[in-house]
Amino acid sequence: MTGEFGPLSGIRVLDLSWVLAGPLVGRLMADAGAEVVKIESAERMDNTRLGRPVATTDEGSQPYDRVPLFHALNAGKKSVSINLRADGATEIVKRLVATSDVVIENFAPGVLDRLGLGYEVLREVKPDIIVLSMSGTGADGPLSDVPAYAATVTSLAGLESLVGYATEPPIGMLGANFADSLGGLFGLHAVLSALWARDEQGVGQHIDYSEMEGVCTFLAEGFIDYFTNGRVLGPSGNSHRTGSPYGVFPATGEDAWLTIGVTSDEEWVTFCSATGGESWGEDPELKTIEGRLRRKVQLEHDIGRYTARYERDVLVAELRRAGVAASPVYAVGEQVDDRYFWERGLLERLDDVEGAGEVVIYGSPWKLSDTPVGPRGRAPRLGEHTRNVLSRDAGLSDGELDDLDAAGVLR
Amino acid sequence: MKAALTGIRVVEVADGLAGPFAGKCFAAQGAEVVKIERPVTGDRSRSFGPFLGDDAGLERSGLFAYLNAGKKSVTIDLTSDRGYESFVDLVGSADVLLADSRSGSEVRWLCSTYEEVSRRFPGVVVAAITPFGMSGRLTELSAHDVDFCALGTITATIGEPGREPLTPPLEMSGYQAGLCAASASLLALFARRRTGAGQLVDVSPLDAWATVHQGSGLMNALAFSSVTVRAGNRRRDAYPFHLMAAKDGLMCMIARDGNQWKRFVQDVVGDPALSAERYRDRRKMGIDYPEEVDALLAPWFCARTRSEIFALCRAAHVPFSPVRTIDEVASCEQLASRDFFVTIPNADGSGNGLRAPGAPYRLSATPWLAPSRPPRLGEHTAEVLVGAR
Repeated sequence: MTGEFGPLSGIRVLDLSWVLAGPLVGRLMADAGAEVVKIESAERMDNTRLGRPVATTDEGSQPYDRVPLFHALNAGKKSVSINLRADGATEIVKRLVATSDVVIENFAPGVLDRLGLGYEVLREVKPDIIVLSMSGTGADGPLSDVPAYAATVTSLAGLESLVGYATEPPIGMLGANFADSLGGLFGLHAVLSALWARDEQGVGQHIDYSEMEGVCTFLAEGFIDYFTNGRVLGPSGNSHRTGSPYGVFPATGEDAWLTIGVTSDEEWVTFCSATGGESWGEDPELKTIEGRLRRKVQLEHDIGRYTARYERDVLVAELRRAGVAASPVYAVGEQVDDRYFWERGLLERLDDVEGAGEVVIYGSPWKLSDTPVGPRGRAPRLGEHTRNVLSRDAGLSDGELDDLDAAGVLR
Repeated sequence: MKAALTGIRVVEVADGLAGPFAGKCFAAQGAEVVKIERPVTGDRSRSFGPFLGDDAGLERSGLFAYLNAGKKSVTIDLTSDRGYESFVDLVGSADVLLADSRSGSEVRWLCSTYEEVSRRFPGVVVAAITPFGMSGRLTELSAHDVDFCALGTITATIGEPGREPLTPPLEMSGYQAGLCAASASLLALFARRRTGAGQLVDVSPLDAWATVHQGSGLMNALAFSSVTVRAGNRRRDAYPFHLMAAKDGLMCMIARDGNQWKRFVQDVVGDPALSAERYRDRRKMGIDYPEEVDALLAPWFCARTRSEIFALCRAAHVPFSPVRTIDEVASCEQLASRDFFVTIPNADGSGNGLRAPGAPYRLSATPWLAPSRPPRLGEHTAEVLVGAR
């Protein structure tokens, strides 16, 4: 687990978000040392609390406190349970906003306003507050009311039209939830930029993140090609403009695959010596990138017949030893057996989850040498810090907290 | 109000996509980004398409323009002692050195540069994008987008069963590593406010795939030994969760709660056959007989265009959406109303400029700057190097 001081130590985040993209921004900020208070409610539980829980011997433990994905997205946060629709709830949230630097929310556009917690209200409470709103298509515009999931957003953004085998209809990458994870990364960058502006210029602001626009940003080459040359890209399998052989090749055994990437003539020479004695090694036309791209289909077919004779990991090790870029295509979960992933901190163990033994989550997607970032403990139990945070930050007495509890506000 | 990162100085010694995208995230927000390019040929993305009018040339790459608009270009031969020395001097006047490397020898160069910079200029943040990190067992390996996606277990989930798995399109690892390096550099700058010291920011394009993209798939594999496999144009753990052919293209169908599916069946399609008990359990349908349900729906879909279906679904609060092609997205009314696409002036000031994606998010007080033109190769060499002395 990561230590006390982090790059964002002293920054306080009120995380009103749920499901995936918003909680991920909070998680990455908690990894960097920010204090992140998750506002949630048993009345409308974060969907990821409703996933399958790990088993426990602790009879008092609630299933919604034991879901691995919830821990991954909320590690190191505090949990305050407030039913935002109950009378008096918004006043409590405003008191918490007054002592926060950042608010994160990903309700549908307009919901925060209807709760009486829109940006204009919050800036009255704290003029330099930074409010990150994340939505599928943005806070305004003709499609802002479209109900959105990650894969419907990537469909609208054009990404899914590019995924498939060459010359066939698109098949998409619906299972990846790409738009949500990317939203976490862009949302964080937006918040850090706004925090920098606040520190330098004294301004707070509202951030409007559209997941659709974030995905379009990653398709820049496709849009530029269309705007300048009228070309509309479609599925192209594993091909890439930079060369051949490039892509995914079979290995011996069931559903075993490896990658090979040769993107320059020097890399081709290396590949030929690593695969010594094969027919392609002496072919003069294949010595140039243009020649290899011209004969790409046949060449990659031949190489596939060659790779299919080898065990995946044996061939990858040989190719890498020779200096060829090659990797195993890992099945989901297979990476836990590769110690590089642990040494790099891409995977981390939580060992204090509700008597359930060890739960594995992912680390931060970057390393800092002197102020390390990474998970700072498990995710909170629902409402675990309600009384503690509300008495400390909202100035509520035990008696007031009892009354609010009895009135159902703290559920 | 000035742009958010005004005042930050970045030296970028990076090539292609990843490092330059990180630099773009600074330049577009007002930071001064000095880009070091090798003489004569410059950044290799100057040689990549798409080119303006399909006409190749060092100052005609749309990709280069997109990634490097608003930066200064300084050509230095880093293999010469004198060149290297003037480069390190430049870094001394910066807040961040942004660098990327693609091979073992480049990583070694970067490690020694980091040592030199941190010794002489301890306040500088050095952000390095390398295939597998600046230390550890794999630093000598080179790797491409296809490797990062494969190791990060994304590839294994895309494609049809029995056929080769597929890499996500274009080159997402690069953009993503750049975005991560930009955020992590800001984290290091925040830390510097307290410690006074710079540090090494170490990013591999594998890192993001192997972390934030690992959702329920990894968790379920580890906790419950339930492995997500590729299933063509659908996910098989629920129905609907797939692409469906309409009259003029594909629709993306997802319903995550039973009410959305019920509304679609009853209010949108209105086919009594679909109201049968057999078509209520979305999990069972997804696992056991999705093709059967597809076949029942197919005539309705084939008789309608995507925009007809999209409109009907919106009215019923059903989240199905069209799978749009790039040209359709380019003329999307939503993106137009938000002025998402912007125009980057051409390097020589000629023509109409380049249409390209603009800011990925909107900051109300300190928005991204309207793009200025990309630098010509070496355009700022004299200005910057004289200024550094």
